This record gives sequence, structure tokens and C-alpha cells, in this order.
Amino acid sequence: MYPRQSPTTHTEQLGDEGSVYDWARGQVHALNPTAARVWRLCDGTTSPDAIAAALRVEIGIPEADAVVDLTLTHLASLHLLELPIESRGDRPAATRRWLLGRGVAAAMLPAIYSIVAPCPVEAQSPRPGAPTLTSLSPNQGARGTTVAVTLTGTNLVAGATTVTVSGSGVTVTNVTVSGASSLTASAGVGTSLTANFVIDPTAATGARTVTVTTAGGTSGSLEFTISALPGLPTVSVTASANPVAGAATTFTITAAPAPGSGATIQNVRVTFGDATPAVDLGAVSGPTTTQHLYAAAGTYILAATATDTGARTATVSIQVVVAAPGSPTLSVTASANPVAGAATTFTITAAPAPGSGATIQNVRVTFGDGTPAVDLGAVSGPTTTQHLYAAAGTYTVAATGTDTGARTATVSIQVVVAAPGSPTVSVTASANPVAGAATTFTITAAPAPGSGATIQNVRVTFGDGTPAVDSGAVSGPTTTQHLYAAAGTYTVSATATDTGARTATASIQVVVGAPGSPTVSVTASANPVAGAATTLTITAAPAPGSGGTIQNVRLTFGDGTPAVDLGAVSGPTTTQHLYAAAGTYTVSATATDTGARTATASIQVVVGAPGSPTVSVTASANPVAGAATTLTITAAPAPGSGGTIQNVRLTFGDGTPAVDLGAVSGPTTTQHLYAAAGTYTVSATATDTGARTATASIQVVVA
Amino acid sequence: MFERHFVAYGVRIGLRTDSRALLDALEQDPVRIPLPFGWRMVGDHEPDAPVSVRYELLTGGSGGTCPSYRVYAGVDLVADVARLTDAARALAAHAEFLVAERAPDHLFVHAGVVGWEGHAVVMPGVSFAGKTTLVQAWLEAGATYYSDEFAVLDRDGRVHPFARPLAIRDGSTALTRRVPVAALGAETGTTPLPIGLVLVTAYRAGACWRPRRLTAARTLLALMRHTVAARGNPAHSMPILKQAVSDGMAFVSLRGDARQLVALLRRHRPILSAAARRGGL
Repeated sequence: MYPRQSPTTHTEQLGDEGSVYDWARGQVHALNPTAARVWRLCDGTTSPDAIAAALRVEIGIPEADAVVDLTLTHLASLHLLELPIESRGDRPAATRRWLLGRGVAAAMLPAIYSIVAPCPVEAQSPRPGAPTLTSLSPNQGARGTTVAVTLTGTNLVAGATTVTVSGSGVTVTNVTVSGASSLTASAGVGTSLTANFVIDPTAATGARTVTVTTAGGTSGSLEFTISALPGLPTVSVTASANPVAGAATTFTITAAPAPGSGATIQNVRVTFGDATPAVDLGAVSGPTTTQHLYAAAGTYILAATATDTGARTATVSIQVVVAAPGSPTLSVTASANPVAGAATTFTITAAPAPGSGATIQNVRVTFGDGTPAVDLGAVSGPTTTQHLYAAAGTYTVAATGTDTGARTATVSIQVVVAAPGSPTVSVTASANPVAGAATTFTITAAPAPGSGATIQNVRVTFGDGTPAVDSGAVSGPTTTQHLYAAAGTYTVSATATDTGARTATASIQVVVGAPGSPTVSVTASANPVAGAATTLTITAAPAPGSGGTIQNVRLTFGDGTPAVDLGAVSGPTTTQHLYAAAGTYTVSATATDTGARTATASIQVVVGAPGSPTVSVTASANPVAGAATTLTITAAPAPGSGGTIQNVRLTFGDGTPAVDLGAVSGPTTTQHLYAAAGTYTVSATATDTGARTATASIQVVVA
Repeated sequence: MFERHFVAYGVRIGLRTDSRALLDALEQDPVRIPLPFGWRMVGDHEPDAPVSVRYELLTGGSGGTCPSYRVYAGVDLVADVARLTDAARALAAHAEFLVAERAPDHLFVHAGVVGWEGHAVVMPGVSFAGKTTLVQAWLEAGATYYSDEFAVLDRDGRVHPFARPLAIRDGSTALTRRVPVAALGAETGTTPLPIGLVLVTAYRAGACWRPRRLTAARTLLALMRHTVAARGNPAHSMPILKQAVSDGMAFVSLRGDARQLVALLRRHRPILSAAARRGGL
């Protein structure tokens, strides 16, 4: 729209000047030739460019475009144009200084002189001084509202005070000065005024300045802030599950005023979409329920309109699918934590209405992601189906059950499908890692559950500057070894990457020790006996990672005999030693590796005294008096005693002389003839070469 | 009640009294009881004839003990005074102002006006601006008297006499005395004059006359600032003011002594002649 003179103006042309009376504001303006020419062309059909062209031709004004802009801006600020002038964004706003700097003569610049048309009293009385303002109440208002304000100050002239609000979009009406007398010397001059600020819905928000103007001048300004329209109230409505015709359906309406609006909900009107009268719930706060009975099955649009105390409204509508009586029932649930790329399990439970005599003929499931619906066919009881969502998001899954009577029921749920998670990975190191020896790392990597991915690679870095190692696709724990050249603390990282390029990294710190000393141990054979060889077993080994070997093992026996060097050994090695006498001896084995590192192990060996010989005697079966009975004697020196059996003396228990069998080795027999029947004690006493003896006795029953 | 109707500048006014003697005195003793300037009695004073305003001049004090006179404009009390002369002055002041506001064919501008060589010199200004003093200086210089209160403009922009006696103040007080122009040795204008010169000025002790010329549009603005019926009907006031300022010249400045200013203006024949060539002085 092009500039148009305000319809509340009356213009008189005085030569090339203009005089404009604005009866809406009671102001009179004198326009110099430039301003007057622009003003005449503000006819709503002439563009600013055309006005500028006219000025160029008729008056020869340079920078005519800028002059026109400046003039229109001035006219608009005086509210002489029908609409605010739109900014011409292709060039900066012109100013008088800029135009003077561009060589435009001052006389060619627009000039507008204004007065407030006086009231009769003002026309003859000494003019009151310039008005002042001290307060403005209220000092704010919202767009689209009319604010009744009160201004206080001085020198406010009844009937001749203009209230001006800067900027556009605020119209001031009903200006009334109070506190003015009609008969005093200060006739018509008051100290307060009331006015209405009509704020256009499109007015710019923010601070404006308010001034008043009388014939005495213009006051200082006070601030008036225009805020956005108070927000609308909110309202939501939900219906009880599975509404059925002929049964009450419960609706829960939640209405609230806009935060900060200062309003309350005055009424909520509900229309049910079935031509029944609307229901007014009145002033509500928080959720409120109302019930409605739908007479017939069908789909109805229920609308709830909340109105706040500021007459602002909000409406919400929902579709209410009211089933015919006897429709099947249906529910659908989704497995927990559905993840994109992994199957989500839906459990659909459909059942025919009790007493309907029908069965569920089919359940059609739509998954809300554009994939084709799935028909589950005739189902009975809970039925599951799986669906794989390609991407994370919120999907509406709808299941429609149809029974054999063609009655249907539909239920829908929203499924929030999360993005697949990252894989997991962990890494552990073998115990006591030593420099120079291989350290074993165990890496366990696994894809995120439900991601549908596999581990594509595990890259291990050892923190010692050596190249990373890629383990490739792994499944379950995987080991890799690494040899650290030097002791130190190293950070080992394992990064697992799955087939979806998702990664996970685990890091540990490994403390690698320096190589240790060799190890050595010594054990003695059981029950060592003086005079008999005792076997000593020495096990020596270099320290792992030391790179050395056992060069020698020196053995000392603790009995003053010389030490024995076993030389280079590998693995367990035995040697024997004969202690001459019983006693407790300390046996020490010192292993020395090729790195001259040594280790010593000592044990105490308790050497026992040598044992007595052994002897036994047996008689032949069924000895009979008068017949020779055979006696078998077995005598042996004690193992380790080093002796031999020197003699075995045999007594028969019947008073006959003992018999010396002499030195025997192994079983020896002798015969004896008992004269009479009876029970006789036979004793055999063996004596070894160490004069140690042993006796054995048996009772022989002679028949 | 007794009633008479008057007409002034096209405004019909009713005057009602509760005393026939009082009404007779109004008609027959204009010296003691002056009617407002410009009032002309009309014969068809039917009580029901429409009037722009109806005044009531009632006898008897509000306290009921002392004789007094009360003046009402409609239902509004204008004056409650002890002397009939004071009541008449109050009535005149109120009525002149009301007529100035409602005159259908004239526009009243607060200004002093003199006639000079066939043109009007108009000096707009509020009370205490020194209009009467300046008018007096012009009269002493030989100008004819038109008004010290209103420039009464007709639809052609010509100035009509509103030649009531000058209201000359005593010293700096607001008290005035009415001085007939004849007492100043001057004559009163009888015919409407076109405006030749507009002097927008006010007295300030010691001020020098440093005139700045006003364009026609700004002269209109200066006259509008002192127009009684400025508000509400621009279709009436604007064309009249346009006609009034179309040919003359206008200057604005503070002034000092009124006589010196008049003498100065008379010496500057070139300016005045230029105005005359353009149809003004």
C-alpha cells in the first residue's frame, strides 16, 4: 500500500505550502513546500518512488528518494498517514544531516510546524507552561488490548492535550483531563488525565515513550511497555479406553491458563460430536472428568474449548471411536526398551466380546513406520509378533481386531524406539607382568544387545609405542600377548568396533616389573635313617623373563661333609647323601643363574636311627604229636640298618633245647617233633650284625 | 419571567429575567447596563424559539438578605453579585466569549486590530501579551480602531470591527477600565478590511524588535493558535484563515516599547510597500 493521507485531516493549500488540520488529534500543521508537495501526493495510489520522481521534476530536489523517505517518516510520526510507513530496506534511513551533507539545500528539506489547536479558553488566556508528566499507570499493556491509563502531571489542558505514544500500533482515544476548573484563573488546566491506549495486535513489543502536548509545549516522556498477547490457555482431553455405545465414556479434561497470563479458566465447553448439547464444565482447575453416553457406535469428534478470564480460548479435539456393543477387545504391548535394528516384540491380546459367540478372525497390526501392515490371522489369547524398526523414533502401533461378526476394535500405542547402543569391551592383563617376558592380555568385546551387530575388530594399543594390534572380528574373550622391553607403567587400550561402526574403548594401566631372581627348592626323601642314603631333590629355575639359565646348584648337607655342586641343571635333580648318625641337619641349595642372580632354599632333615631286624615264624598245618612239625622262620635286617641277620634262635615251648639257625637270609625252615599233644609256644629271635634283635612267637596246637 | 431574544454574529441568545423593570433597564440604559458587544434585539422573541443559549438574570441574593443579582447560562451559575452593573459585565463577558465560539459565519481570533491605509493590522496574542497597548500606540499614530480583543473574520478573511471600548489595564494588575476609543482621539473602523500585516509579538521589557518573516502557512498557524473556535470544525476555520493570510505579510518577534515599534514599522516603508503591492499594506 502506498502512502495515504489520514482520513481525519483537512488540508488547505497556501501557495506551495500546506496547512493540515488533524481533528483526530486536534493538531494543526504547517507544511513547507517540500513537505506539502509530498503530502499532496500521499493519495494511496502514488508510490514513494513516483513521489520522488515528481519532486525531481517539479522542484529539482537532489536525493529525492531520501527526501521523500524523510518526509514520509515525519508525516507518519505525526500520525498524518493512514498506515505506518514500511521500512525501505534497500537503503538506510535518511536524516537531515545526511541530506545536507549530500548537498541538499536546507530550504528543500521537509519542514513541518505543529501546534495543538487551542480550546476557547487557551485561545485567549496566557498559555500555561509546558506540560509535565510525573506518572503513568498502568505503564504496560498487551498487544490486542485496550488499556485505560491515567497520566498525572501539570499543565494538562482540558480539551487541548494530545497524548502521543511513540512508534506505531497504539491509538490514543478518550483523552480526558481532570482536576481542571472552568472558572478559575487556571481555567482548563488540570493535573491528571485519563486515556485509552488501543494497542493493535500487530504492534511491536517493547518500550514506548508517552508524551503529552499542549499549546504550551511537549512534556518529557514516560515509558509504556507493550508486551505480547498473553498466551492462550491450554486444554487437553482423553477418553476412557474402549468406549462402547450405550455405556458411559469418561472424558478427562485438563485445562490451564497460560503461565503468566494471570487468568484462570472460566469455563470449559465440551461438545461430544453426536449432536447432543454441549456441556459447560464452568471454572475448572486441574483435570476434570465428565461422562457421556454415545447412543450408537461410530467415530465422533469431541471438542473441548477452554476459556480463561481474559476471554482467550483454546480448543482441542479428539476422535472417539465408539464400538458397537459386543465388539472384541484388544490390547497391544511392546517389549521393553525397543532398539532400532533389533526386533521389537509386540504382544497382542485380542478376544471376542463375551457372549458374542464370535472368534477373532484377524488382527491387523500397523507399525507406524510405513512398513506394510501385518495380518496375524485368527488368534486366541496373547499373540506375539516381531518388528524391526530401521531407525530410532516414536511410532504409533495400531492393532485392529476383527471378529467373525465383522466387528472391529482398534487400539494403538506409541513405541519409542531408541538408537542401538554401543558395543562393550574390557581388557585384563596377566598377573605380575615382567619386562622381557610376554604379558597376556584378555580382551572381551561384545556388541550391544539388540543392536544386531557383531564385533568387527578390536584394536589394542599397548602404550609403549609399539604398533597397535588389530584382532579382527572376535566373539567372546580373546587373548593377545605383548612383550614389554622395559619395566614401567603402560596404558593398554582396546577399542572394539561393531559392524554398525559404533565403538567402545576400554583402557587399563599395566605395571610391568623388572625381571626377578631364579627360584630353587629342595626336598628330602621320607624317613631318612642314619647309615642309609637320603635322597634330596633339587628344583631350580631361572626367573621368568630373565633370559638366564641355572648355571649351578650348590648343595650343603649340614653334617660337615663338603658341599656338592650340581652344575647346570634344568628341572628337578636328585642327589643322595648318607648321614652317619641320626640327628637334625639343615640342607641348603643355592641356585645361581647365568646372570649371577642367586636363590637359596633350605630345609631341615630329621635323620632317624637305623631300625631292628624283623622276624616271623609259622607252623605247618595240623601238627600232630609224634610227627615232625615244620616251622618256617623269616628274618631280615631293618631296612637301611646296613646289617645282616647273624642268627635266629628258635625255642619250641616243650622244654626241648633252643635251636640256633645261624645267619639266615630269607625264609628258613626247621622241623620239630612234639612228643605229646598240647599247645606250645614257639619263639624265634633274630639278631642282626648290629646286635639288634627281634622276636616273634606263635602258639602251635599239636593234636 | 420575562424574556428577550438577541442576535450577535448569527448566534441567537435568549435573556430571561424575573423583573420587568430589569428588562426595561437592559433595553433603555446601555450606559449603566451595557449589553454585550454586537447584540441586536430581535422581535420574534417567542419563548419557545430555539436559542443557542439562554441566560437568566435573576434578582435577589442567594442568602436572601442583601439585594443581589444572579446570572445563569443555562443551569450554570455565571455570577452572583451585589450590583446590577457587575451582573451585566459578567453576562457580557460570558456572552461575548460564547458568541465568539459559536458564530456560524465568522471566526474570532484573539487579537488587537487596527485599520491602516485600507488594510488591517492584526496583532494576535493572549491576554497580557500587550495587545491593547500596541493597539493604543497604533491609534496614537493615526490608525483606526477595530478591536483590542477579537479579530472577527468573515468567510472572505476580512476583519470586521469589534470595537468595544478598550480595556486598558492599570499598571501591571489585571484590573481594567473601559476607555471609549473616542477618548483616545481615534476613529473606529466601520467596514471590513483585508489583513495587510500580522504582527506576532509579545511585550518584554528591553526587548528589541528582530522580525522574522512568517510564511502564509505559519501565519495561519499563528492565528489558529489564538482562534476561539479552533477545535472541532476545521472546515469552517481553515478556509477563513487561509483567506485571511493569503495576501498579507507576517512577522514574529518580541518587542519592547509599543510606540517605538509602531514608529519603526511606519519608517520601513519598503516592507510595508511590498505588502501593499501584494495586496496588503
